[in-house]
Amino acid sequence: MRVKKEATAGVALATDTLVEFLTESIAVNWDWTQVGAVAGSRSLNLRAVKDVVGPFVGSIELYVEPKTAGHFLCGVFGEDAHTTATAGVSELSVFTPKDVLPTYTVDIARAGCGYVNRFFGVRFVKAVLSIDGNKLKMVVDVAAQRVFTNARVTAAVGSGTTLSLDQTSGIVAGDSLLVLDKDAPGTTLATLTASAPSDENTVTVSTIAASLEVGDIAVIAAAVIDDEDYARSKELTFVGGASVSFGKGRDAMQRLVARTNCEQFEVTVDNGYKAVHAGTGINVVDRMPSTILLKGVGVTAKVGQLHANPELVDVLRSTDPIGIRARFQGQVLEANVAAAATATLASGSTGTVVVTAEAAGEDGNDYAIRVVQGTGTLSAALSGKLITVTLDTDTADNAVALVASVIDGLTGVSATSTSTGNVTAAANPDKVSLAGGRAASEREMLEIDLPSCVFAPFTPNVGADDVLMDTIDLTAQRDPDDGREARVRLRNSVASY
Amino acid sequence: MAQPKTKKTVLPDGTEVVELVKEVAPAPKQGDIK
Repeated sequence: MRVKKEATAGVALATDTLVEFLTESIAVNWDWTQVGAVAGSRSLNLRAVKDVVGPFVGSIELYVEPKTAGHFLCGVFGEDAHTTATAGVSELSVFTPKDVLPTYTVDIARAGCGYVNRFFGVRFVKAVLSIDGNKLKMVVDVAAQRVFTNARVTAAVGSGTTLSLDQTSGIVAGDSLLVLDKDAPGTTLATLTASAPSDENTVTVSTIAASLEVGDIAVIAAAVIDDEDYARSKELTFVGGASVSFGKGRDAMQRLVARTNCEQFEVTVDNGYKAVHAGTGINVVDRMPSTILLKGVGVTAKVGQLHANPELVDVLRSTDPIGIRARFQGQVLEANVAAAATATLASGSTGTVVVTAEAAGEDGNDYAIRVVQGTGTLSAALSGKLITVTLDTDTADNAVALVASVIDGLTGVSATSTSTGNVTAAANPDKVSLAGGRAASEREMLEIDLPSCVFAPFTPNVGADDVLMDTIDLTAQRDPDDGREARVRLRNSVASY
Repeated sequence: MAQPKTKKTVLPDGTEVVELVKEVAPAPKQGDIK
């Protein structure tokens, strides 16, 4: 399978990223609809006429490895926010649900047949990440707007460079087209290199030297792929390769505590969609959806842990929000790069307060700062890893130097000020997260954060010769402070998707 | 510049609070030279 993000939704591009996968089940429904009329006989089935086709839906199942997983995360969440630590070595992509999802061209070679089914305008509408044999597995549901399986030659030709087909959508410049004999489809009559199609029924190709008849079958040849053509890393694993943490209450991601007995983890990101079929013309491609619209997005999860005490039952009983993190780590990307996380608070002027985690490392990125207007004296409070700066009613007493001094007094962080100015809540309306913290040996990472979940009802029931388990379905709510229901941070050596 | 004075307390739930201690200038006495 090869994928490529499209520049224009539904317009195929040459695929360039090879992805290993386990199975695919994308159905191409060249469907028809029955005409059954009262017409002088008892026959119910008089004629079949062409029906709409698509969206072409199904699943792609693959084990998650850090390099190629980003393409699917980008498709499910939308474009990432990207930070380069060391170009081409340590690149961080942060995915959160966006209002627009990119589309993809996906080539899936037909095993042993030498040609591909090319799906284009592909939406990755749903992803389920779960543990399978200690490996992290992803099942991606796709909805393809269009497909090129094959086309028919519509005008006999034996020379020149113009090939007439009943579908050229999906063909891109550089494709190798195989023209198969309609009477003996195992026989290749011609192998032609395509230019970009000039219209839906004509494509310029390399010189035609064979006699092609109306009805001969054109397919897109599959590229010859070797093992070493795959740019990939090792699959991520759960036991021995990941850690799970829970945090309770508001700002749960600043109150994470590592779990020692979580045996099961699964998360699902599900985008609703609607395919639009419209009367757009009389070509084959006009039977396919004219577009696919996005609807809402929801994130759910499942965790399973040994029941040791009623802690989580109590959370359920009170409908308390709970934050969940699963962090999978892979190979070392870069050594000797320890750095402390920092963040900057703004003032109403040029002054700033720079807050730094005292310990270098990834965990410093969990600190966050909230600035609120108080009614008394300037103070800073640290609860978990949440720093709350409560401003004085006298604006002059919120000078950057004073704010830095109260934050600096907290354990685990230091703060300095630059220039002059007074910190205001208006200048820092959102929770400010520390970022840039790096471990000494930075690894590939896939970190899934669900900041505010609620549990579905569960009961740790008792069975003979069994252990007591909390098996819990969760629904991720949109966290009002973080403005998202889920965040995935992916670190690898890939600069863009 | 002198460091601003702060006071640190730890609440029962473990929350650390660092508060700015405001320097209050003494009220002028009668007869002070202004």
